[in-house]
Amino acid sequence: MQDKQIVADALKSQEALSQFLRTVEPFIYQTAYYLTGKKVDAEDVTQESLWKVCRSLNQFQGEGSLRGWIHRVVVNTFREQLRKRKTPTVELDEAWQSSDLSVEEQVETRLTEQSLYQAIAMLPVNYREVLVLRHVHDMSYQEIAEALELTEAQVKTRLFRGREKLRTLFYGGDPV
Amino acid sequence: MTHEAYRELIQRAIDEDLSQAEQTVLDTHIETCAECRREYDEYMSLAAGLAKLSKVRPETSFAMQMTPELLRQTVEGAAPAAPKRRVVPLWKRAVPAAAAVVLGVGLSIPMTNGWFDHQEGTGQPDHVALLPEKGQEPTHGPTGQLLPEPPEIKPPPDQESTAALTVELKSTQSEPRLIIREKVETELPMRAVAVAPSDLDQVKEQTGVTVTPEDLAKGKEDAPRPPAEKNGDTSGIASVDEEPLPNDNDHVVVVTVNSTPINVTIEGGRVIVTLAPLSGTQGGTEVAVFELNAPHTSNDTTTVTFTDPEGNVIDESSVPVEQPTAVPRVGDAPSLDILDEAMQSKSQSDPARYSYVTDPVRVVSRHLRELGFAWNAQVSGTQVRDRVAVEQGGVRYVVGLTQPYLQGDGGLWKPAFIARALPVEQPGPQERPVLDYFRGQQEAGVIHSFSELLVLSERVRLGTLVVEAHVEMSGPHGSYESSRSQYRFHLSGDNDGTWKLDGSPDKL
Repeated sequence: MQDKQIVADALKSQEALSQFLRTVEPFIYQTAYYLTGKKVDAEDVTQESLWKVCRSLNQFQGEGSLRGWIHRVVVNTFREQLRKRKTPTVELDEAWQSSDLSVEEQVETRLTEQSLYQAIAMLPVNYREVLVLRHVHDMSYQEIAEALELTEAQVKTRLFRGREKLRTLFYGGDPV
Repeated sequence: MTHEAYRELIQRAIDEDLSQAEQTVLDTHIETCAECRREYDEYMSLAAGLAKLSKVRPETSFAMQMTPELLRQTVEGAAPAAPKRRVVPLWKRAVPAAAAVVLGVGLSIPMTNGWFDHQEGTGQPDHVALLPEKGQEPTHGPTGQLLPEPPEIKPPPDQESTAALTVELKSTQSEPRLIIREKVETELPMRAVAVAPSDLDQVKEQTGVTVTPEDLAKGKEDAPRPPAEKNGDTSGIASVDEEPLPNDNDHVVVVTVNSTPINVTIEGGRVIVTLAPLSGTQGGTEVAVFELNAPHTSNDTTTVTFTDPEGNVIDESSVPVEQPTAVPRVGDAPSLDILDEAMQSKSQSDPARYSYVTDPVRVVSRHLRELGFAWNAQVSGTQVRDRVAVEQGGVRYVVGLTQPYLQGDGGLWKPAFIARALPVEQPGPQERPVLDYFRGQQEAGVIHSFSELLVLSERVRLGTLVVEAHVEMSGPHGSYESSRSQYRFHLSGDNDGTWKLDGSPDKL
């Protein structure tokens, strides 16, 4: 079935729409969870995104994939949340170094799921968005480019820089 | 090539974006360049970590809370401008925490629903490929594989989830109603199984798919009653006219694995379900849950027989018959022997399977029928962990539980008593004088306030009621002391059906 057909089916009845939203909700939440780095914020973004998907699903024209379209909604909602909050961006290395962990403890916490989660949440937003779509949802460069309205080259640059930052954080070495 | 160029190759290798030639260049280089090899290893460890990030799920489904009105407007094309009311997450509302848990159960919605898990190269989204398109002969899978020709093929009932189709299906006695369809990662040993609607946890245990009583109840209210007359498809029914109308409790839940029911006949006290295998289910196991009308029998069980299209028996399930009416008895809870010390040990050795016993809400949900409730009663937590609320037929009950073996988080919970909330707005004839008593005490200033009146036991004919009340008494210096107290009331009835208190209650 094509994405357009899925959307048409979802708009056929309340039950179908409700089921559709319930199906996509976990994916929306996962994106929000890794983008925001905070459960509470992820919940807000998820809720707002679901409303938006619900309201504008009938405007989905089948250009690009449906999941790309939905993730664009989530990313835009996340950016709005950032703007509203004007959350000061904590620079990654700075925040990491200022943590109270001793060197040994820092070594121990390296590359656990939790430390990775925290590290992703401290990446610059541009890098974070691409990284989350690539690694949490296994989206291709092209899909990410479509979803975020970027070129594939931009996607690669951001993704590579994001991963480079994470690598130097966990293993040391010269940041690029 | 510079280090920088190799670094890019490494990064692209993580994304499996290298051509064979590029991969060879990289492999050759890292064999000789220690620095690039180290970086390569670091990147690969990082990639492994990234690949293992949890597929987290929200604790509560917002989608489930979105108002039907809004969804309706959207479906009808008039996109609403903005939500009328922002849905406050359950945990931010003043509801008992465990109520959120109950709603959360309904969250286990298909996560691997095919299209959203789009895999490059598989072409068709999974869940679509599983089912034949409308009008297409379902005997050929998308792979071209020839399947056995089922006799008298009816379209699988779940081809479309449109409301129209659902209603049409409900109007025949023997059509399965699709409750949920989900893909699971694990391979399952069975093709099909039938369970009682009260035993949905079985579905979870056997397949990993969560179905809630709410899922079953959904869409039922507006469904037309099944017609009493025979219909063309039920030639196997012995004598339909003598069968009582199926009521809401005459159902069985059928779980199919990589197969779909194409015909259901009811023959005497038996249900025969013909299954056709689903094609194109590579890379996962397709589990579908249906509800069927079951014959009304005087037996304790209904037998559900699964056959292949040729009529060969695949499997058979025996399902306990639901009692048509279920009113719990207030007082000591029925003894659930299964919740014994052995189960306490099992919950510790095999928590994946038996952890439900350590959650009071799930214990009550799981054993609803055995406790005397209807299978579709609504279960939720209360402000205290050892009490679980059950709503049924507009009446609120409270099940009290204890931990007989182990206290604390890992302890098994066992229902101890069932109480009924005394409806302050509409008290029954025996309850009215009880309520008047508390009001009198309040007016007289003996107690400051009372709330949460629970009938703990009632002997209607003898006219005794044991009632628990949460009362606030005035303490010294204008303070209040609150406590739960129990009272035994003695009542005597008049000829006109009214009751009055026979002396003061005994405070227990």
